[in-house]
Amino acid sequence: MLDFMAIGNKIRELRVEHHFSQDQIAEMLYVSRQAVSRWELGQTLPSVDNLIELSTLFHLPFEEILCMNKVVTIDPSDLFLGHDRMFVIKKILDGSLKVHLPDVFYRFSNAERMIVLKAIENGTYQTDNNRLWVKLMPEEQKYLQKKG
Amino acid sequence: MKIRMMNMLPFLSDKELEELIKKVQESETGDFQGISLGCVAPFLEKERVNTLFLAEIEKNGAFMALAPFVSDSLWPAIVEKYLAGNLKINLDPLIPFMDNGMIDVLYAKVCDGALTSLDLRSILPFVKEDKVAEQFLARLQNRQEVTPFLPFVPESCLHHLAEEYCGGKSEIEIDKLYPFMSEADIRMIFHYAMKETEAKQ
Repeated sequence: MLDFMAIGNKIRELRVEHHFSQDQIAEMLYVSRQAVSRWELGQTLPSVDNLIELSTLFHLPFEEILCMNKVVTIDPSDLFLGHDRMFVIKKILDGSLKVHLPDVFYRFSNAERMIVLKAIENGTYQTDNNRLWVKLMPEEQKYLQKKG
Repeated sequence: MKIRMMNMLPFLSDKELEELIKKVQESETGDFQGISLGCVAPFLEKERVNTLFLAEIEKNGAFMALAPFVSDSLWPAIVEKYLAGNLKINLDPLIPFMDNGMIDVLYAKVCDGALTSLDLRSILPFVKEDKVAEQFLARLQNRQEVTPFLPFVPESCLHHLAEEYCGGKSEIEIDKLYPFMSEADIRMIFHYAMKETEAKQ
């Protein structure tokens, strides 16, 4: 999964660096200015064709615009800053983003907490369960007990 | 000396526990001296928790705290009541406590459009990957909305679509799908699309 927000920031950064306005980009790519704005805000991603055009326009490989070669760095004080929330959760769960889960668990929404607990219960994600246990709400503790 | 009620819980008789439950239920705040129904539940018989849960759910009370202690055998009756429209509760937070069978029943109803009060996004994280993939592919074929499914579709399923797209199946809506694919598949798609663009020029 790609990091929508990081890509949005990258597109904005490249646009500003090349002295283009959102309107100019929109005109060149035959899309609306709102579409460009949504890309930059990380709400959507450009189509494959638009990305190829952006890649030509900015003289950069598509991998770079899509932040594919970038090591994901996370601000420990704000796990989700500048990143798509689902992207961060997926990276944590597939092990490519190392965090000490008990220390950051409070930053997750209720639904995100349950997604992580489900992965722990399935055995697809391992963490320091003893440290995490005390950070869980009673119903979350019971969820792990019951399913375990 | 002040005795904390919480510490006394393991030593209370059934009768005393019942008295305590009554006091908790009668209180306006849902707790009595720091004790809520969720605190009492571990000290009750399963059957008692079930009846208490049903009573709370009927009056849309503090059922959530009891959900982790409810027997699996109780869920079918609750789901049936909910589907019949006899329970006016928010079912979303109860989903994690249900077994896979119940989740499958609800998921099927939500996907069919027969159940609109339950949010697809709140049930999807708890649905097995093969069921998500099955529904996702069916919707894709029927040109229905697939966006909520995408973060939960297994990469193997998306890989298959990436291969089909690069094999010339241009009707696949790749723009929607590629952000959720693996990096290897994204590279494959872009290399294919660039070759196509060059060929057109």
